Amino acid sequence: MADSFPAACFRAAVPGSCPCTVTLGPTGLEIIPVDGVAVRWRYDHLRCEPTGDERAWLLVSCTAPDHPDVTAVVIRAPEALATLADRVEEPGRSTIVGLANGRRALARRHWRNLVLFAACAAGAVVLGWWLLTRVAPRVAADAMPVETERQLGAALATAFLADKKAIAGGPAVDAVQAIVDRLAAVADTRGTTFTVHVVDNPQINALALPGGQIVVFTGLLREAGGPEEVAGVLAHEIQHVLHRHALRRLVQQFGSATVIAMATGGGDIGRMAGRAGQLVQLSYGREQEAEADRDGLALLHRARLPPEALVVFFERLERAAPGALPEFLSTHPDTARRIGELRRLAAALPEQDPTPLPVDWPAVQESLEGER
Amino acid sequence: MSRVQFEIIDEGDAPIVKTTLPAGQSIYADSGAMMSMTPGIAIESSMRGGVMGALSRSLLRGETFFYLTLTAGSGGGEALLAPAMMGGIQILELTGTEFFLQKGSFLAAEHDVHLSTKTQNLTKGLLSGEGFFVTRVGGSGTLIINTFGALMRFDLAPGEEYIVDNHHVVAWESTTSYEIHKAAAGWISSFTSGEGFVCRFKGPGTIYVQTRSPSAFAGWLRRYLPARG
Repeated sequence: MADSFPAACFRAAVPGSCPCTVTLGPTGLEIIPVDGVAVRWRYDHLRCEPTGDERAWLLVSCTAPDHPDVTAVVIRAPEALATLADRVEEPGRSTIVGLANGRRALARRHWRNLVLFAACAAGAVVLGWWLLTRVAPRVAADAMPVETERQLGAALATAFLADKKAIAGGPAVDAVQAIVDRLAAVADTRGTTFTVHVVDNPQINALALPGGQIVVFTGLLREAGGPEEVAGVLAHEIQHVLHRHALRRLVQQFGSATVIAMATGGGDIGRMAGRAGQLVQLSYGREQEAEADRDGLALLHRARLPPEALVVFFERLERAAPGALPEFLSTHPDTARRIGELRRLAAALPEQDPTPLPVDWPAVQESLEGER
Repeated sequence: MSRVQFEIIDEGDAPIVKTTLPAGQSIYADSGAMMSMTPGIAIESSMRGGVMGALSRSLLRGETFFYLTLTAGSGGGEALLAPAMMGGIQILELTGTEFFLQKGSFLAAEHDVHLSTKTQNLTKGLLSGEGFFVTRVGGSGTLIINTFGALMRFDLAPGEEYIVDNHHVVAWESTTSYEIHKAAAGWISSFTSGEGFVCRFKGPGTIYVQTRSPSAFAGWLRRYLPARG
């Protein structure tokens, strides 16, 4: 019984491969090119070797051909290879069996490579996203000159305070200024100077704009039990300024083109100032809050102020708003967890006798009553 | 049933392919390849291989997401196809083997010619100049490829070897194997000679080589482009 299969052959008189039919007979194979003379090769005269970039083809040649036209034939059909493996002697048989195994491995490698490529592509996307949203804003913000940051902060503060009632002077402003002066004197400001604004607003809030612009709401001063608690909050806000957290946040919001312009001191400050109102709605990332907490406590300690004052204020906030958002819904760590971490950090600082702030706190609170 | 006829016309720097389609016959071609045609031919776009096939083609092999399909009506028709690149065109008849193509070489084919993706190993992916994915062409029928510069064909006998600069390879038959080597014996000579890596092919099979290197041309052109800003 004979089996016929399509294959391709190479001929002495014709360049390139030619289609042919290979018939596997009982003692040998017959090769019939589509437009050539049929040749017969005995199985014991065959030389078999894998060929091709994927080693998926069996290259068969004859050591004693009866006609010089066909020089080799390449076979890939699995059925043809299986039949041929049964009819040729070693080492040809092992070559054919190895070829079949290699083809299965090749198919596995193909899918493995595709999965590997998909994984690498996904990794590149994640890395790109991380570089764009986390690393690039940091690098661009850090490259901005201090003077440009100061100009930016001043413009933002003007826009932010435009529709708010700022308190021009008096005990509250003096107290906040005294607290900021005490903290700034021992902070690593690297050229940053701080400007204080007190806003008549019942919100318990304070925020730091780039360039050292500190805004304190009267609601916070009313809620605080003493100037040390306010110092705790301001030490935290000053660290946001010194770590350029707000600046990075702006960079993220305004995109890479503005990042480059800002880094070279040519950013559109007026356009940013127009959106300054959004600053209070945007929150810092958890890592930034934790960094400001940790370094804020250290700043309080260097200023010979009680670090636990910040903890006391947070506890006061927790009592005032016990239903705070859980941590996974907020970029701020939840208050209870944050208090625990602050207590741990405060306890780790060396003990010292605090130097009281020169502030008449009852007079400050009384002046705020007059603002109502 | 009579077959589609392909003929290269205006051979020179900017050849095109004249395709004669008998009634009811169709071919598919690279998107945007149709230059002119008789009114009896209908144009459609097709993805061939579905959305995943089209995505694989465009993302991995850098080819077009859609193919252009030209189908002749009852009276038959004629269409002229032009490649995007300045260079040669080759008509290949598939003889039962497969061909691997570099990115951007496919111009047109009959419907029984099938294109898919072949992955290359790390060394070839990084150094061959072809990337990690090349186009595998199988099935039966006629395939039209285009190149940058003119096209040369080399037929290798079993065991015969030939070396081609990696940026000049266009297509090679699946019965040939190739390995990546540095061009010279030493690393410094390999790179100072401007050749870098080369592909060492081993027959049997046919390889097609383009007489210009796209990357070398891009490097030459860059010197004359005005600096940004």
